[in-house]
Amino acid sequence: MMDKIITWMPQLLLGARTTIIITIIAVAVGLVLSFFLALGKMSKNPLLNKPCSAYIFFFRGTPLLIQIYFIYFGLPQFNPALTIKSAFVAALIAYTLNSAAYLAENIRAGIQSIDKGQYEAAKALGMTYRQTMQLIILPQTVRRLIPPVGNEFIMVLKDVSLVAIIGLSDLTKVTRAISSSQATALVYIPAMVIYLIITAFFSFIFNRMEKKYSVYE
Amino acid sequence: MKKCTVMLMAALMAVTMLAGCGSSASKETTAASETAAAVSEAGSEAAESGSTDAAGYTTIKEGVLTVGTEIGYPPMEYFDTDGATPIGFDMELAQALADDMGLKLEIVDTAWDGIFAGVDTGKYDVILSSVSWLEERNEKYLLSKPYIANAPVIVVPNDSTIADIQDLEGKSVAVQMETTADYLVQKYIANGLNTDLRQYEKVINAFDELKAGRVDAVCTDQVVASYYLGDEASNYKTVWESDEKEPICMCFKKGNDALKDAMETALDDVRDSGKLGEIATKYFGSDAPINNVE
Repeated sequence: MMDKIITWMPQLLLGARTTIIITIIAVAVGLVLSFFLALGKMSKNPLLNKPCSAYIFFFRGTPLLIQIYFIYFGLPQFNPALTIKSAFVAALIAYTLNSAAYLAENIRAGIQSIDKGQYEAAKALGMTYRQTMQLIILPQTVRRLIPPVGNEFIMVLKDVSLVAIIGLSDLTKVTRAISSSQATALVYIPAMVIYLIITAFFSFIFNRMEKKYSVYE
Repeated sequence: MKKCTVMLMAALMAVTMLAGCGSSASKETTAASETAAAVSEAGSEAAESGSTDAAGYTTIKEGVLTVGTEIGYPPMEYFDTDGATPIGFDMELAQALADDMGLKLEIVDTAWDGIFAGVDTGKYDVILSSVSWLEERNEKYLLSKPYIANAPVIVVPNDSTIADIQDLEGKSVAVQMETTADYLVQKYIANGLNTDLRQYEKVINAFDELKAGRVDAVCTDQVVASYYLGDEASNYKTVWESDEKEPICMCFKKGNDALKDAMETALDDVRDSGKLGEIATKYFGSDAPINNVE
């Protein structure tokens, strides 16, 4: 039994690599995008807050599966110029846009959880809104954001299994392919173990980050 | 007031949990989720013991022929414009066979990559889903005599220079996952062909890729190619046909000889009565595929 599992490992690990890369890029870039979305949504200027709210509403309100499918297969049917050549790039786009929407709400909550006293003190010191955000508020939200962002990361890790529909070989697709071509369910075990190891590893990292940023709490 | 809200939320949660347990919905978000619901409904009915017909075979559900298929493979099995009625060669054949055997017909739509496991575990009596005859399949399952001649072909855009499978060298080809076309290309790759194999869940995705210009060719069953070419015949052409014929047959659980024999008899009836030719002409334009079957 173990020798069968060993023969499957190279393919499984290749699939795991695709899964991890998509997850990391999607959450990292999504996080950057989400800061702007969150600040935009909180802005008093309707030219900013309306589009940001609409974006968040759309990407949280439609299933990720449909988003992936639409970006890859749907867009070319409307306009051939919108064809994304690489399925990998299409996946990155879809997951990034999706994560950004969910993370934006987390960030907004994080920012709004900071004591109003901080804003008042900053104002008393004569800081502009921008300085307040940059120097006082956002650094404090970082610590509060680690659990939600860690959560999003771990969720995206599993959601990446949807890329099979656009032909990408992530860990889940490789597992299903091995399972049906060799008529065995045994392969699900090493696959689950690999997912657990990845999750454990990143949970550990997020835990360490949280401890480090909690120094001032 | 606060107590009211808490009670309301608790009640709402209880109701949604009950609803969730009641339906057989799974949390997977792949296309298999709807099919899993259909399959497990058929499966729970399979818990009742089957009936032994006077003809000597048993079906999972008394008086019903349960057929597993992957709907989404025109012209063999696909949905009508209403998005819910299964039509196609295999579907009409299944109805004709069921009628001949005096059984009702029940179609179970299943994702292709679990379809064989389903016949083994008794989710359906037989698979009628463009199942190609393969040596490996014949060892694990019970295959009937074939009813349609078929072989993998390569479809390319009209202006393509690809004329043979070896021309795929350095190019990309799309297939449906776990189909014979998929295995065929993988075999050539194992023998040294350097081509980029892209696998998709549904065959239509492979053709979408060809249309979008993301792959250079599609390798699929001849019967499917003829459907898609029928739609856009002016843009694509079939350029190569495998010498390894893969006629299409019915697939049963190993050991279920009684049902296989009964269905082969029914198949002969349907062929002799001319109904098979009728269905073939309707979906293929001629009855050529049902003749010359090896």
